[in-house]
Amino acid sequence: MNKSSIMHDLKPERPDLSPPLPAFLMVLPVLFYLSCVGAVGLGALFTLKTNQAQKDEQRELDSEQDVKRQIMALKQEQKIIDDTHAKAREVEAWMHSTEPLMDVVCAVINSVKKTHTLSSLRLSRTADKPEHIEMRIEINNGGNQQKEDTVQALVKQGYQTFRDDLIAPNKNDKDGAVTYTATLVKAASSEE
Amino acid sequence: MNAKHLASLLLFIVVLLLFQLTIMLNKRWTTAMEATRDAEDRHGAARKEQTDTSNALEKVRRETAARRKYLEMWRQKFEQSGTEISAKNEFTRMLKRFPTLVQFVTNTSGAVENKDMGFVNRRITSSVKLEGDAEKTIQLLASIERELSTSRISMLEIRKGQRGNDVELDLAVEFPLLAVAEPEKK
Repeated sequence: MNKSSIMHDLKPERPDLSPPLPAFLMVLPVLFYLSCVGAVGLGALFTLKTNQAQKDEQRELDSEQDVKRQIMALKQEQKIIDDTHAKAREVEAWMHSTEPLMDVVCAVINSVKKTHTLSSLRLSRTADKPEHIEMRIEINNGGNQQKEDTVQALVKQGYQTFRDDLIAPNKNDKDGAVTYTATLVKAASSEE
Repeated sequence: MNAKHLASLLLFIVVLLLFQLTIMLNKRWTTAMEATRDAEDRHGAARKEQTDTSNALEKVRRETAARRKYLEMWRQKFEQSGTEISAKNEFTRMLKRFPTLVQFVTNTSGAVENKDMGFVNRRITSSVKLEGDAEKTIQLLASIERELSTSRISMLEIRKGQRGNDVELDLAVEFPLLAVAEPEKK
C-alpha cells in the first residue's frame, strides 16, 4: 500500500487543487482506523464488563437485603425471647415469694408439749422482703423451755432465727407466759 | 488553512473523541466494579452480622430455655387468677369449702403496684377473720397454699378460740394480677 492510497482512499477522485499535506500527517488515518477498531472493541468489552458488574452489584444488593431481612427476623425473635424471659423472671420471683408457711405453722404447733399452751401465733411477711418471715408467739405456759423447743423445731425445718426477742412479764417464773418474736429465714442449704 | 488541513484537524478531533469515549467507558466499568466490590463488602458484613446475631440468639435460647419453660408451666395458673374478680372468686370459693368455719369479716383491698415488675405488675390482698375447729383451720391454710398456688399468705394469726378446740384465724392472702394487654389498634 503506497502513500497516496492511504491518504486518499476516503475521498472520491477529483483534481488535486491544494498542495499535499506534510508526510507526518500520514499517521492520522492510521490512527483513525486504529481508534475506530479500538473504540468499538474496547467499548464493547467495557460495556459488557460494566453490565456484568452491574448485575453482580444488583445480586449482591439483593442478597444483602435478604440477609438484612433475616437479621431483622432474628432480632425480632430475640426480642420476643427477651420479653418472655423478663416475664418468666417476674413469675419466678413471685413464686419464690410464695414459700408455704405451713412448714412453720406445723413446726410450731407440733413443738408445743402437752403440758404447755400457745395463746397466739402470728406470721407475716412483706412484699419487699418476702423471704423474711416475721413471727410472734405468745406462750401461755412453758416459758423459755417451750421457746427453745419451738426454735429447735424451726431449725429442723431449715429455718434460721434472727433479730429475736423474748418478753416475759414475770421474770421470776421460768415456766410462765412469754412472748417470743423473731425473723425467720430459710437456710440456703434447705432450699435446694 | 486549506480543506486538507481542515479535514486532518477534524479527523484528529474524531480520533480524540473516540479515545475519550473509550476512556469514559473504561471509567464506567471501573466505577461499576468498585460499586460491586462495595456491595460485596456490605453483603459480607451483613452475613457476619447475621452469623453473630444467630449465634447470640442461639445462646439466649439455650440460656433462657429453662425459665421460659417455667413460665409456660405457670402461665395458665397466673392467667386463671390474674384479674381482681377471678382472684376474689377463687378465694371466696375456697372459704366456702369450709362451711364450719364461721367468717366474721372478709375484705378485698384495691390493687397495689408490684415494684419493678411489668408483667405481674399488681396484687390484691383478700383478708378474712374466722373462727372454728383448729383442724379445719389448718386444713384451710394447707388448701390455700396447695390449690391457690400463685397466692401468697402475707399474714396469718392463729389465736385460741372461745371453745375447746376452736381457734380464731386472721388471714391475709395476696393474689398476683397480670398486666392488662393493650387492645390492638385497628
